[in-house]
Amino acid sequence: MNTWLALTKKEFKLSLPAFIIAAVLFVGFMVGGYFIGRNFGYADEVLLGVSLFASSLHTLLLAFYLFYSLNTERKRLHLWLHNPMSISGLLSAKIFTNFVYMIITFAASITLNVIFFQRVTDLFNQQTLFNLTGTLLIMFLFSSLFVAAVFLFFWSIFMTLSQKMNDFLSFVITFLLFVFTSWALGKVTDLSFYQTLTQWGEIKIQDMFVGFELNVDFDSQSASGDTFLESTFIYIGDIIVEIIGIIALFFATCWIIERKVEV
Amino acid sequence: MADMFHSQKPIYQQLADRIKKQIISGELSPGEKLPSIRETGLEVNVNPNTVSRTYRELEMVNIVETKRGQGTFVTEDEGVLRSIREEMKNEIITIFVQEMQEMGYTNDDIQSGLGEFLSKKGENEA
Amino acid sequence: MITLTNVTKKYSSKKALDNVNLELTVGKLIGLVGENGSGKSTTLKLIAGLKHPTKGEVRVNGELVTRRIADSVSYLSELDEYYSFFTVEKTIEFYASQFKDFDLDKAYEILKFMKLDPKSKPKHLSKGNRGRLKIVLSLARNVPVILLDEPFSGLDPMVRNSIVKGLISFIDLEKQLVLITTHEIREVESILDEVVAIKDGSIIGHHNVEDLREEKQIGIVDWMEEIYG
Repeated sequence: MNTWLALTKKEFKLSLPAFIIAAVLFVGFMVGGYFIGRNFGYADEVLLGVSLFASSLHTLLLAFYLFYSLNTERKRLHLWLHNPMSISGLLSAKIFTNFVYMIITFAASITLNVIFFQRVTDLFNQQTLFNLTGTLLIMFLFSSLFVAAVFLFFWSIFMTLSQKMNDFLSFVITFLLFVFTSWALGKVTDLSFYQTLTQWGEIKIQDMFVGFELNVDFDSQSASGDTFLESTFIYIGDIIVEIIGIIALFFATCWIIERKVEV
Repeated sequence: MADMFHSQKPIYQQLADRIKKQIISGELSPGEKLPSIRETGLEVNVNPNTVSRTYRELEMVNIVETKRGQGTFVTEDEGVLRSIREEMKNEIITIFVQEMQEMGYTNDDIQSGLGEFLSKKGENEA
Repeated sequence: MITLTNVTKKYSSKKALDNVNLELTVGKLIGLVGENGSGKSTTLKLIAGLKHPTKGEVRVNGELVTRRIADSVSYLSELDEYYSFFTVEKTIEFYASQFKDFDLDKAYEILKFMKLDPKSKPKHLSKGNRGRLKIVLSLARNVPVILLDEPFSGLDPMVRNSIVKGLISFIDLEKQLVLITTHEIREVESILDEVVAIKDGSIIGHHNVEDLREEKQIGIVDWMEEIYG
């Protein structure tokens, strides 16, 4: 454990430049948004938009951090790989570290979302806002982990291929493989048997909206209003599948790096 | 390495010769402790395994003796010390004479040449 | 002990090693010599588990080599690379944290011997001192196998000499096997027990160095000229 902690400490130092870049960009966006918004007299609205945009970018941020970290290691792969620890140990230190870095700006952007949302509109009560934020938070976090797992998996394939060919060709083939896999996975998820397998434990939109005042607005066309409220926000089954996918990708990545990637 | 040993003869032998010369010249006196294997290795840039072999070879011909836990010491046996002196002297003379003969010098030439050289050298040093 | 049995390593189509058999025993300092691209580095990386044989098997102390052999193998790359955010001291501490056989006291002893400043950053050191730092890091481990890839390359004679002296002082030849690849044969000639010559991915000779001198009255350089032809 001490070995892993010491490694994690190293990873924090290694990824620090990437974190600083992201943090500076984030602050820059917000400051920029503030001045532009103020010019047009819509500071809060613009800042809400910017912070929402920043929040959604966080789904990619973990993968970006990992890209930065692994790309730095790549120049001296022997330093990273000449270690008695398993690849899952080595990789988990990176994932943990960069996840922490991601959470810092993510927490800031989510807080700003809530603040500016409340300043822009008082449409939702506290409870609703809390539900909504919580669900979005979990979705974003899972998405970012999923994107990171996909990135790591294809990175390991890219590294394996680049031993046999130049980086450009390796990248092209890896990319095509990625496109093909996404397409094939899309086909699978469209299958009805897959959907029966995963579409359970639904969380409906109305589950999250407590004392929803908008009901009034839908009165004239109550049918569509009800449909909207009863439509599914997210399935717990989907989340479970996503978690399984993340774990499977992680171990596949470890297997590939352990056996195929060479210094 | 290059400055201390030549590469065509086993280093353990060259190192043994070096120690014998040190004993003859008095640089190492009878009963004196030799430096440890690692110290010697460091001094002459030689693998400790080789130094250890040198010590073993010297021990086999009783020039040094290893006392358990104390180290390796130059022998105090007068007979052995005398025989090293003789052996080294003969070795050098053999090489010298061989080379002279190869160039065609006669025994007389060698003897007179050597006598002359030594007496001249004696004058210079006096 | 290191054994390579019928080891072939291919890159794309080129064979870096071709059916190599090699057995190296503990308690020896062994030189792996050969021209650039002859397969020296590949051999070391295979033993360190950082490359995988296309055919055949590599074992260290009977154990089939994977990357995790790092537990009993200390590998020093020929690359001059360190983590830029660590000072010399922090680099040593990091290594100590990753390898349980790393001997911190020994590391500082070697550091002192090499006259390195623990507070400086590797990138601010001279090339020679970075070479010395590598020796500190790899010799401070109490590990059965030490692999040094070109430890002398590009360094001036003073540094090379200090590395040779470091090897003599800090290797425990009772328990360790040291395998060095090098071009600078003269530098290591007097400290090698054995020499292995490699050409175009094949082992073309493996000798006890003192035997060479005793039986053939030749040194390593002469021997290499003889077998390389």
